[in-house]
Amino acid sequence: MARNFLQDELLPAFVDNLAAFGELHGPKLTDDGVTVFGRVVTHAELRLDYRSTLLPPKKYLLPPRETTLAYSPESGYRQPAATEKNIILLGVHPCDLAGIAYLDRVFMYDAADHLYSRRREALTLIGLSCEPDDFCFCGDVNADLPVGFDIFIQRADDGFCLDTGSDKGAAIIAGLSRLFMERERPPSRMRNCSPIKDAIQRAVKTQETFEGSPLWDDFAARCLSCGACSLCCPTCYCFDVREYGNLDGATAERIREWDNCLFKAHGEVAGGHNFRKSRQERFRYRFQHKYLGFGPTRGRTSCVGCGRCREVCPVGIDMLELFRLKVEGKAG
Amino acid sequence: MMKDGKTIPIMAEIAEVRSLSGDTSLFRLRFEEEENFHFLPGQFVQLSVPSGGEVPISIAGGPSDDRSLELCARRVGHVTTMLHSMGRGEKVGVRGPFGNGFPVGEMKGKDILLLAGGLGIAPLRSLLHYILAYREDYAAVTLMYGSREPDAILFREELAELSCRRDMRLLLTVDFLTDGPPGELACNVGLLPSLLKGFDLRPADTTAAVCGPPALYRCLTSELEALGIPDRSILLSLERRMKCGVGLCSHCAVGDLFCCTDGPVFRFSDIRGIEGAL
Amino acid sequence: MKKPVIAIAGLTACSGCQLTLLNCEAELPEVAERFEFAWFPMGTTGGDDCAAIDVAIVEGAVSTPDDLETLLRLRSRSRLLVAFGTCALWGGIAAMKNHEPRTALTEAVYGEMAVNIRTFNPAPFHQFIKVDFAIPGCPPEKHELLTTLASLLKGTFPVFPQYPVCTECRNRENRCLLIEDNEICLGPLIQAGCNARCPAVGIKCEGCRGPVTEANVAAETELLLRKGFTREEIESRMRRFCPEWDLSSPLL
Repeated sequence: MARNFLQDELLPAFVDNLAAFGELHGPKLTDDGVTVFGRVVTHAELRLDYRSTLLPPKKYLLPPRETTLAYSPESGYRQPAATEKNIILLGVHPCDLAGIAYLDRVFMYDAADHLYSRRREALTLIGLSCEPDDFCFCGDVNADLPVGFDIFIQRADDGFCLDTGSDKGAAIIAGLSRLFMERERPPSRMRNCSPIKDAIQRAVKTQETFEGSPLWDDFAARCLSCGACSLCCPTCYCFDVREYGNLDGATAERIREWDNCLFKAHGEVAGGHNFRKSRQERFRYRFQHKYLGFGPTRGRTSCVGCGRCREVCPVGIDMLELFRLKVEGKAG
Repeated sequence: MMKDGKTIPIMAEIAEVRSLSGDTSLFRLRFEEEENFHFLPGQFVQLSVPSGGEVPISIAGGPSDDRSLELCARRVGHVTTMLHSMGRGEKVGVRGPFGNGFPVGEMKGKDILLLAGGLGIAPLRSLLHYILAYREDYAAVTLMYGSREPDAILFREELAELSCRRDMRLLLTVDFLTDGPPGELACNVGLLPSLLKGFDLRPADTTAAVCGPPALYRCLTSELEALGIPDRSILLSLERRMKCGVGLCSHCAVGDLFCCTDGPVFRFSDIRGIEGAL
Repeated sequence: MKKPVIAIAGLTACSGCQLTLLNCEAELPEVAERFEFAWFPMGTTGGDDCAAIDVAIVEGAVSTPDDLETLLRLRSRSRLLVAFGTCALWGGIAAMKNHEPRTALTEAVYGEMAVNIRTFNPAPFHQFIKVDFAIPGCPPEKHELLTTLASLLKGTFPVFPQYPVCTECRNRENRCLLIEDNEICLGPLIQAGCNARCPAVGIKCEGCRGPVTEANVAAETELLLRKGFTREEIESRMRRFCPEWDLSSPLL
């Protein structure tokens, strides 16, 4: 028996009351029809039946570009002052929750990043169950079960079933308890798995690098290096660091900005030598990071199966073809 | 406010600039505050030049310096060009030290063979200073150092002093001779691996440490193996463009290892199978 | 600190790049204070046209013997020379018909008078002189100009990222005109820095900032052909701001 059942007609009240716990953000449409996570003032703006947003919620934790340090001759390098507002992010699908859980592991454990941690602490995650679309494959990479949420909302026929995952979530549920009733828990939905699930799991286990696959050349020939695949990836976090002086000739600002391993400059060292000169090499680097892991994330697939990279690639590059070709090759 | 020296640069003053060649200088930095800067040979720092940004530079000085830090920088990019325009008393920022450094404990009792190409002398100078400071812990010590031409030999006076020492061997080579006189240093002509020809060593008891331009590693590792040095005793200090130094930015991966946190010193045995490592 | 001595000049162009500087109203007083303007015919009266210059910032394509002379003179007087804007960097708008015979073009415009026109195919600076730095754009972005000036105070040039317009466009979560609307958008090929100014308001990228490093022209052309555009349309679109997509250019 689930205690926290929210009837459809009470959803608006639930959403509007969330504002008491922080600034409400969720999936909504922009003027030119793009689904994005953004500030939501009333429940009417929310699109809780959305498929996927263009950028994943990582933008709340690691903005596309941010000032990390400010320099002045008097006080040297300083981090920007802390003023994080509490944000309630509503409607995060399990794949995106898995993406945040992965980023948490990278930015909050071994090498804790102060700016990330600060934002993460101010972020409340309210997950939402979803329906698979033509691009996504979360079950293949074990990212279909919700993790790391404060509250998770499971869609049922005439309402929503809410689970809490943290004290923060429990406090919200307790504060809004008047909206809930008891109801039979809805059956959990089918896992979203495809025939290549085993191939992916096996490749990760054996640290398969698909050396000699004809696909590397194919990817390299088609890739426009537009950056979309990693910008839209919930777990891509490579960043570039640059510094710019100000017109006073004294102060300066250091920024960090999302980078992409398919850009030429990603593998360059001083003097111009490039350790990943060709696009083929850069794709292999990308595969290594995405599916096999680097450093502390070694052996951990960071792909959460959201399918954004396939959807936003202008030339339709899909790294899953590596696994597919292997499966077909074996079958044939 | 966090001030751990890993996230936010600590300011240091340029105490001395020593020109080593046309485009390379040794910068001695002194920390403004009473920081004791502890490091291992082979570690690196992220050096900030205000308004220019940050670059990874390996530490060139020995362990005896406490409040100061020696960095050897070639004028090759945007930040190092700015650094070279700076002089005594000007301020730079330092984060670090980062990376693993050379396994100096494990190298004890071994014959030590240092192979440096060009600017690769910087981290090996740090290692050599360390070894000479604890000389009795190590067996035979040899530095082989190759430069492009006589004018490009760095640390000439120091090398002249080292050449007089009886507790180590110094072998120099240049790729080619230029018109001018070769100078006071005895010098072979030929690529660095040519110094290994006929060199008498005890391969099983030797640890080799190599640092130089990318092309150097490929030929040297095979030469060293041919001499019988096991691949796990061949230590390579690799160069990558680390942007963060702490295993986050993901620019410096070598296979599934990060150069900044797992390296920059790697055993040849650990990276020989990795595409693009060398 | 000694003020850097700068010159700002234009060759065959619309003066829009120089206007970018004059449009920085808020920053102009600071710029005027930090730099000594030795030569800026569009913005200041007088000026010394034989002073030694630290940095010359020059817009326009080289299209007349006078242009070339001005450029060579500025180069020899300046320690650093900046190609300012797409014309200076790639040839720009003026060069879009470079693939057609010059005489036909001059006759089309000037008729019989064409014989007196002493011009040649508009060309970017790097075909004649060493260029130390370039600020792309038609016109360039204010912030890139101001950042460059700020760097020059420190005797250096800034490092701008080398990725295409798409990167900035995606970061802004714009609707993709190439994928969603099948438009002939050059975003994947063009140097970013404009923060996807046009696609953000629903206008496809026309390519005014010129090619990005390693632009994959073949793949973009293939993609646009598949979307039903003709090779002529694609080529003419790409030539609008950059006459030759020669990827062996030292600046790419």
